[in-house]
Amino acid sequence: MLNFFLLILIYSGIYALMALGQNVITGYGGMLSLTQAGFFAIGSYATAILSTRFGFSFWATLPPAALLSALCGLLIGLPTLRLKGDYLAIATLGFGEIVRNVLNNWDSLTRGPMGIQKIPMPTIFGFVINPYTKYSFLVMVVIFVAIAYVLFQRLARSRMGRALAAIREDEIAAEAMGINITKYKVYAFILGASVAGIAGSLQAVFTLSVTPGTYTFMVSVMVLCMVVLGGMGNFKASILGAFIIQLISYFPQLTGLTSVIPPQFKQILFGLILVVMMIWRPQGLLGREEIRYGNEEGEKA
Amino acid sequence: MKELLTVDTISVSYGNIRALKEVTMHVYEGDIVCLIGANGAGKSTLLKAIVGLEPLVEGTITFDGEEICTANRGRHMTTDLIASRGIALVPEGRRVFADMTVEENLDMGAFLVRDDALIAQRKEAMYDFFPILGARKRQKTRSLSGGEQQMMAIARALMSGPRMILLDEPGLGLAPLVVADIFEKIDVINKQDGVTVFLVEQNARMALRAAKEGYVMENGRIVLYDKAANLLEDEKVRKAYLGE
Repeated sequence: MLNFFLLILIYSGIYALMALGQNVITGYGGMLSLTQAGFFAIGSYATAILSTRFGFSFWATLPPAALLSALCGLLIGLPTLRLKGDYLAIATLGFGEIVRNVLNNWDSLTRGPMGIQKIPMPTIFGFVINPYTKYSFLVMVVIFVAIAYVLFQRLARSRMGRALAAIREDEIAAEAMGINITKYKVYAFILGASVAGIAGSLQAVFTLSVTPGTYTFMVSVMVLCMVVLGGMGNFKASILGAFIIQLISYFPQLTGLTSVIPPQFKQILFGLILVVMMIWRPQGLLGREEIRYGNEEGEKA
Repeated sequence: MKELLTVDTISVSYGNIRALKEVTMHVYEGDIVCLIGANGAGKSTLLKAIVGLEPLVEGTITFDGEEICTANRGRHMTTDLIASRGIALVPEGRRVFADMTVEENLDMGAFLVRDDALIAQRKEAMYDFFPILGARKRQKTRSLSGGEQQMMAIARALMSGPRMILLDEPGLGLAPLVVADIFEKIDVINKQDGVTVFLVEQNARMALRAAKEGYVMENGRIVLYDKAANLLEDEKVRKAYLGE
């Protein structure tokens, strides 16, 4: 039971990374993107392929995983970011599906539906971070989430955070203030993509095997649910949302009711959560974090 | 006097509809120029074209000797670049950042200004110039009245220290006393700070009294151009726009 709870915590952490990225894109940038699963997959496969074929250590696979995801974020971002709302959602949804289909069919690189197994466990100074015993792995995941959280908190208070806030409120006014909206939107997209890539790397060394079936559209929906449930524009909330959603999705296993509750239960529940939140608490559990964008003098006045 | 903004035979289309037809205008540095016309004449379209929000079908727009808009999309500047050249737009309907405080809005207006001391100094100047904004600087902008929001939109535009300010119907939907107040402020901005003003307004009498030069637009064309004082006396203008 404890072991199972640790597993949920680890998945919460991995998904929290993705949710943080989604929050930059959706919560701060105001762009409804449904493509985190695609970047997640790219990160996972980058780590899997580089470590099994080319003998990279886990740590050495992180920069290429993040860079590759960021590059894909740029490639999809540039043409689609002029789309708004639901149009953007559909375009990005397409990207996630393309990634999964490529993974399924590019046999020579990804081994198709068979996936890639025997991914080496990460080590640090000779110490093996063993995903089966979980404790050390959990520590590693928590450190990753903490770093991402601190970086994103700083980002939200930076010039870029201000620019995104203005763009979210009124694009035309933001442009008239001299804010290059394409540039900042693409930045947000790239950042969100690269953390999802890192989350993918962690996923790969946690399960020690990757198959395309893991990276379905459902993952993107789950991540969006986490952000909406926690609160858009609040990074703490994304982490909380990730934990709650993971807890809910493992609810049948946790309570030993797998024979009673059908597996589709998850989807039904996510749908319900989104609908209930939209009606009763559209700002999410914690709501948007208020950030003062003034300069020092303004603060004291 | 130096020519600051040149609009040279530009046309703008919305699909099959020509919204602007070969419009030419000259704005000289330090002037207040107004553009009057009925609803749907193309006034707002012209302002949007100047700041690069509407693509041109033909013609060019030049600001201070530099080409900012052309029909060639490759050489067309983006809105943020045009803003960085010193053109500030006060958009139609004000478009304030409603969820931000007055002070944050002003900070956003100074996005291109990298000097914190200068930003603080300009903010103080704005609070002196529009005392109501100083009193409300910690309030969310959505809680401001229409007139206050209009003043905030003007103050926000001035935060970048522009050479020219474009105002799109600053009097829209406001009480006559408030409109008079706003026009008084615009006059001070022009006279004291030397900011060139290009004003689009349906309230023709107000606009022509404030302005030095006036253009009249009908169906996407400039049909009349003269000193504002002359336009106030013009038979056709009096009939069509001043309700006499």
